[in-house]
Amino acid sequence: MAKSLAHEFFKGFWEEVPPFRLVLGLCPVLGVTTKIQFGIGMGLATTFVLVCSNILISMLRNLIPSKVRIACFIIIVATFVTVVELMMQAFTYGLFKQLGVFIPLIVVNCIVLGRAEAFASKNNVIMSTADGLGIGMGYTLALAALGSVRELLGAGTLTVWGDPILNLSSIFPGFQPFKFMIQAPGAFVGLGLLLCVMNMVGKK
Amino acid sequence: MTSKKELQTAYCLAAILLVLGLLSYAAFPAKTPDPPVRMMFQGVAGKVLFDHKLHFTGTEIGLACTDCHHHHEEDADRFRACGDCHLTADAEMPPQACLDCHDESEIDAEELPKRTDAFHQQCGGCHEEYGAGPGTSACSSCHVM
Amino acid sequence: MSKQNKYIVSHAPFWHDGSGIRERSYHTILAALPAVLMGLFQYGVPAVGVVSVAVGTAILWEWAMNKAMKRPLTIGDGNAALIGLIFAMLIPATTPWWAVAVGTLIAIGIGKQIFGGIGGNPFNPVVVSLSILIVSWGHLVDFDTALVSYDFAFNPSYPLGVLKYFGVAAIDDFSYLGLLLGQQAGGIGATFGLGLILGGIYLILKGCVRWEIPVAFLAGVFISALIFNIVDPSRYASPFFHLLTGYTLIGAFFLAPEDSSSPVNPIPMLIYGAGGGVMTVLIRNIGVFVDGVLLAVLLMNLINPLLDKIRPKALGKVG
Repeated sequence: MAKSLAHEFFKGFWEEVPPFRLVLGLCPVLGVTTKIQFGIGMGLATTFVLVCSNILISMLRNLIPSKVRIACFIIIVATFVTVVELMMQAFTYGLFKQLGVFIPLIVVNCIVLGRAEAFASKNNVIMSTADGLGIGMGYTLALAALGSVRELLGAGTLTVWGDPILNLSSIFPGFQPFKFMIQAPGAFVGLGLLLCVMNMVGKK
Repeated sequence: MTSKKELQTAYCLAAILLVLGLLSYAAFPAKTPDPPVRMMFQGVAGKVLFDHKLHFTGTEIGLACTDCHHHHEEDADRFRACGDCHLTADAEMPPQACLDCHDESEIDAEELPKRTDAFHQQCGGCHEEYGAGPGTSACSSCHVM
Repeated sequence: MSKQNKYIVSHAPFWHDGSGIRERSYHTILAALPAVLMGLFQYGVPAVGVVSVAVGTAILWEWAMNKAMKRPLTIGDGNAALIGLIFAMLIPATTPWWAVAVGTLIAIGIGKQIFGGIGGNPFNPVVVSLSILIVSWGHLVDFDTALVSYDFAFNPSYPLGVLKYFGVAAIDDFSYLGLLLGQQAGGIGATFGLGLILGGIYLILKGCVRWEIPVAFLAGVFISALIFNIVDPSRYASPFFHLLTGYTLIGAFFLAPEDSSSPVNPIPMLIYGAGGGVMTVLIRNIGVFVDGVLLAVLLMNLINPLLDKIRPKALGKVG
């Protein structure tokens, strides 16, 4: 079972990219991806929690009694979520306001707990770091991909930190935003279509 | 499962209809007739449907064009739409329609009513004067969400 | 259930009468034609454009989806053309071509092919598509806004809009006969009540649609609207007005009885139709939406699998 460090890192980008391949952590995927920058912000916050909690859990994996391990994991994860929450309030208050309740909800994100249970509690610190970083980056990319599709179709723009990098209505003058995509049902349809595309590409 | 003949029918149907559709859209591009029949004004308080034609053909109303179009009164071909000069509050002043003929120094942008005020005065004022139709008291008698 | 009709089956060989999906589709299209032709007559060339683009792109999308999913081509069975036609019947004649094309893409792609093609869709594809379009581009499919340039000989406002925003007193202008004969603003093929009723009867006689669903739907609309009307005639319109305006008739005959999203047993069909009718009136009279048929049909589609659990016990099954 000993796989290379690189494999543990890169599997998060395609083979096990969380929302699409594992179909985990869907709550923020559907909830915050109305804009690409929310997706990136959410993804980075989750990555931070994932990496830190993976490291700590991996270090403590021999000390945690297996009967109460979930409770211990939750405490560790919650600690880092609090850290992220306070840091975001301090440095990126605007983004924090936009993401709202989804930041505290990282505690119960299946990916964080899932990686702790399935990987960090069984592997050494370096492997766990690579795993957390890879999965986290994959998660960020997935959120950004869904966010960009939804923002592009639903609002006609792509905005990253206040700078519009793409504006559809300037390319196609008659473009009218397809508002369905930035609403909740549009998130499900967009996620489903992205999954479908990934499966089609993956099959070949 | 599908026979060749059925497929060919479907291909032909699709091709003919696409061409027909293309021709119909190309031949009759969406344009408002002159003078317009009805107009839909979109506003933050809801849209307002204005029956333009009814106001100058309706037997009980029968307004003259110049009763409302107060610019270029002498020349019926050059009537301006209300919104050409009465811009919304956040639009750039002075209006381009005025600058086409006038110099910027001639226009007193402060005196020119904004679109919302102009419409409320024009519609509501006239309706109250003649006691006809909805007055200015109830928003929902004109505005529709 | 002991008085069921018993068919006498003779010995083999049997003879297939040649009917199939293709025949069903073309019968339904034929049934829709009176209403569509009336719409084309009323709205002129732009309506021809909308109907042509809708049917043409629907077939095109079906072909493209078949190719992309590496499945046998199903455009020959006429179901795609039917979806395109019914979609065109519901929208105003001035809808831009790209909105029509996106609408049929949603109907064929997300409404039907995603679920595996004909017979697999849990919702009526046309209703799904139009609901998404209303959410996204409400102003394009708003009849009062879309039809401003048409100089009608009758009251040009969308009747249900008038009822919703200006109350019962404002709908005196509409005569029931005029509404039945299509003298109202609305979708290309959704206004000519007489044509829709004739088409519906044709479909029922041909066996493409079972009578239970449309009759129960209309009865549901009528009875619930009648109750509202009796309770407070100054606030709620008469049941005949509800029957003849909006999407009621096209909903009863063409939207609700769609093949795979409606029940197959008699009692579920009656409940399904009546539920749709009652929901329609509830949404129109109490809800915020002007017309409730689309949402009512979607809602009934949703509980359709549950309804179909009401069925006779299988032969020989114990307990």
